[in-house]
Amino acid sequence: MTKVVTIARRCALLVASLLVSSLLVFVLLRLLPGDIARAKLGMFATNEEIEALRAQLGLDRPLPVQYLEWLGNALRGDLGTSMISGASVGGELAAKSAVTLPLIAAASMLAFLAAVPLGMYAGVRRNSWRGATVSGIGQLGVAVPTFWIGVLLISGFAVTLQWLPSGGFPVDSWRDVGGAVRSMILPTLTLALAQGAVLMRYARSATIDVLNTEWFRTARATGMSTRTALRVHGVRNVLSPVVSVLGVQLATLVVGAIIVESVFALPGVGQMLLQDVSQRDVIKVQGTVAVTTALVFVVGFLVDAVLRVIDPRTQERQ
Amino acid sequence: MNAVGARRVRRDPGFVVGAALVGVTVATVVLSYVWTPFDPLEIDPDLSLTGPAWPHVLGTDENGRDILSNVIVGARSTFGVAVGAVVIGMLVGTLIGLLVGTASARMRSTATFAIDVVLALPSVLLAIVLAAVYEPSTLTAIVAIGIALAAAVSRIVARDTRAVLANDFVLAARACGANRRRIIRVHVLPNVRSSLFVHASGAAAVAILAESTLSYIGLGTRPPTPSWGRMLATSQQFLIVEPLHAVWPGIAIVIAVLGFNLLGDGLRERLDPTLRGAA
Repeated sequence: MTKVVTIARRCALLVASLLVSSLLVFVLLRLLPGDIARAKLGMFATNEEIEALRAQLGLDRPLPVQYLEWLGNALRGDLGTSMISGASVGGELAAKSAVTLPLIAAASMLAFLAAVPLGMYAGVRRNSWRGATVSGIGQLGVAVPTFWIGVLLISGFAVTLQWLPSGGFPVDSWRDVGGAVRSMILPTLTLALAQGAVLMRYARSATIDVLNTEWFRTARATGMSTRTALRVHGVRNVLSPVVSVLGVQLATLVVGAIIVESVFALPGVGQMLLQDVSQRDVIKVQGTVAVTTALVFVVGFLVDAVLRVIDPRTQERQ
Repeated sequence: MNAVGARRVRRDPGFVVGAALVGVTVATVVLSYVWTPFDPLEIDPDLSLTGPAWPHVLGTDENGRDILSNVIVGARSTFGVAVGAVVIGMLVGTLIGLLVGTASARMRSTATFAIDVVLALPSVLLAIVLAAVYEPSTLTAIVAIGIALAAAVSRIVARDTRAVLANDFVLAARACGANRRRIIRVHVLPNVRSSLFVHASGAAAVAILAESTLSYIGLGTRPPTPSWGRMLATSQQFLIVEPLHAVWPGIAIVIAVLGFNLLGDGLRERLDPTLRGAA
């Protein structure tokens, strides 16, 4: 019974988060001084022209009505049309996701697979120079801006060694599998390095926490080596905080993808968003940002749910 | 410095290195107002894209401007945005955190929820949204980063405030008739004050990263004001000719960010005795 209540409560919170975040994006873009119509038509437009466009876009109606209408359409999958090209926002978003989603998925997978063993190593060997070196590199990695990692990788692997393209994406997109994969290697590596450094620090401190628990000491006392005890009992306990951080880090991962796409000129959601911003395509920016934040909430919710299933301790705490 | 202090420093090289790196950054900002090897904006078509050589120690960019002078002056905009954003973030965040922390349970859960939603919007995304409405500028960057920091800080301050309020001395103060304002001023603030410095240091690192990122994607400091992020964006176009130009501004950013991160970690360990020896 209590379980059902908990699940219902979580779902209600998710829906509320989605509503509030969409409202926040709407308010930030619409309520602030600065008229969409004037921004589009430029400063030499006559008042009549501006009024006509405002009526056409529905901007002359009260803001709550505009928000509810936008929300209603969005729920039916209609995010409106671009103010510049007239294309459907939802359609363009879906098309550009073909680059962004694989990038995020591959990078977080790679970051996770590298960060957990390295973090555990740094945690176990925290008092030796090897562990200190690994965690020092992690500390340095957190301080390096994502875009600089990208620029350095381009300099090394694309310009000097000429192994991989310095940017761009095949015209045929994923139909040119070889070309698409080659263009994704450096961007994925860039995003994974930036995320991996953060995850590694969490994996390290989670490992140190495990090493200091009484049950771990008991496991060692039964004659298990540190390595065996970690493998048998420790890994799950290290993984669960790291996975939850991955959920929390999702928003920064999305921003990282925007930056990486900009570094490597990848035609993804991020590059589209930056272009829309420079063209003041407010409707499209609103749709893109609203969908992105909604996805962040939904995935965060799912990560949380998975953790609750994997880790019995999170259920007890309720 | 007394003997105990000296021993702590030896055991905690991170703090010393952090303080030194932050010192280098601050000194660079000060130096930029007093002296630079060349005028950072002076264009010399004959010296386009040269490598490190005397008198242009780090070389010149595509317009023949001295790179070292630009790196030195670039510290200003990065540091300026960071300081502005951290001041906004700390002031607003602390105020909201104190209010939320001392509010009734129902108000608190609503407010915490609202803060969490804002937290889900990272500073760079917020700056992108703001830049869609306003012109991208230094001010937009400061406000966006400041809002994001405020959300994070208010969350922590609210939690710390709750922890202080749970103490018996607060109960005693209440029993003596102290009102909310007095409890905040006399009991809560002095107890959360020291941890605010830790957060400010961490927030500065976040702000510097965000500022350089925004400048890189063209939504931060406007040209021709030198900025590290934009120098890196330009250097990317000339990687074939002068790959080293993509190194110097990056190192400057890492020094600043690493400095504030290490300083923050060091401060945290000093202020929280339970962490001592754990890291």
